Amino acid sequence: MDPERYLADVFDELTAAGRPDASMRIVVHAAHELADADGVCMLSATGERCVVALARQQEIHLCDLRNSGLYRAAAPLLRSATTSSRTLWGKEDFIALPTGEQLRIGVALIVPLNAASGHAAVGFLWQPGRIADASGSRRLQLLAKALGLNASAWNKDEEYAARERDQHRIAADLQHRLRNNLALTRSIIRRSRETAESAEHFALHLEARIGALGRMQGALATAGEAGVELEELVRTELIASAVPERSCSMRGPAVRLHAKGAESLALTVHELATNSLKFGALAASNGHLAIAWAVTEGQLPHLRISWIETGASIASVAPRRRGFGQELIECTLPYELGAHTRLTFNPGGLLCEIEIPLEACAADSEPRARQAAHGGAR
Amino acid sequence: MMRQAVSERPLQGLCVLVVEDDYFIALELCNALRAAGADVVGPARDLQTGLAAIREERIDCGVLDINLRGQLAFELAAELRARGIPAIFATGYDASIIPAELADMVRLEKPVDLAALCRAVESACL
Repeated sequence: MDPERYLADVFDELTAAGRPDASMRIVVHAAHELADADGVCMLSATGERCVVALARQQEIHLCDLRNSGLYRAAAPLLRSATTSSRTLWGKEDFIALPTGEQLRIGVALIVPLNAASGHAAVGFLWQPGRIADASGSRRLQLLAKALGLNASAWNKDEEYAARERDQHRIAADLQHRLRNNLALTRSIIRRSRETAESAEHFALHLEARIGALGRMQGALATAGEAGVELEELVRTELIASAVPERSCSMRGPAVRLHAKGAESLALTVHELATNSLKFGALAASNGHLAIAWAVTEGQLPHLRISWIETGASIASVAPRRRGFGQELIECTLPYELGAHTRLTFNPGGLLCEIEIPLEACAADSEPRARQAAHGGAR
Repeated sequence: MMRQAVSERPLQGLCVLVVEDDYFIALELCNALRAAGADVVGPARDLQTGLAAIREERIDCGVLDINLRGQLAFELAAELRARGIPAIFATGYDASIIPAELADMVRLEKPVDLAALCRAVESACL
């Protein structure tokens, strides 16, 4: 079937159904005429030939997938949309017509959100990267009228556009996080290699570090904006390193950490635990590890964490050269979180003290900061 | 041979500002640039440090991460541009987040290919 013919038929059917609008000129572009060599539809006045008023009430899925951000925003809506609706839905920038014809078409995305009320959400794209301009909105309203859809829903396209921007932002953030994590992983691989003593040492430690990063990513994904509880983070890392429960204690108030703080501290606890199991208190039969933290009062509250090993059988000595764990504590934490850190190699084991401005690591530091500001004003 | 010596340290004599909030990634970028002969300024971990470096140091090219603890680095790019200094984005973001007036800047995607980074700095400073 000829796509143009098909569109004309649908249009006739719609106008015959008693919902005509003399001024209706909803312009859509059929690609067999408009698409350039790359299959991209350019919307131009001369190209405006075919009219699309595809489908009856709630039967339209018309989608321009050239904008992948829009596609990401739309995909969940489309999946949840009513299944009885006819789907004009294809891959990439194709839209498969029911007849099996393929028509490249650009312009609008129309998603029925509620079949009963006729509410729908609309994204309109005249150009890639642009959402709902004035002429687009006008045309959408005409289309809504033609389709007999609830007009109030169409006035909400601003709201929809805002939601779409939100979705796009979330997708972009996710993309950023993923790429950043890959970059971080690669830099950790590189640094692990540079600080490793042997190939075996390199592989062993690298695997464990990636494990720690993975655990933290999992915890952060579950926790979201609320952040990860410090105690949970410490416990998770100690369990993952198989630190016996009887040889350690931990104490401190509830503190929730945001992503970067949690990530750096999880790696730190991992490195400290690994070191202790190999050389420190956790390697000794009577050794003990105490982890304590507190939040200091004052204008700029700090999170102060102490890692205190006692009973190590081998007197701990500062290593000849700085390993990965030491670099993490002495360089990474200060750089990323503005931390002050100190490693002390005591006879009974390692003492590691970390002090981080709460606002640099806590997920809920803003309310605290506001409270402090109020306190100060009084 | 002279020619070879030049190509081994193609960034010799160039001051390159690195702005990146992740320590290990910053270290990796800095080491790669230094190995190519550059003098690294920074790394700067946030907007303020980056701006201070731009105002106080000699810089021939900037390598900028876009998201610095939630702050976007476009201000730094604009500041560099205002001084006629080229800059390159090294970022996990796709191009859509970059404002139109900076859209012509070179953007390298994370994880950044370090050889490509050095080439990009070299050609930006030509």
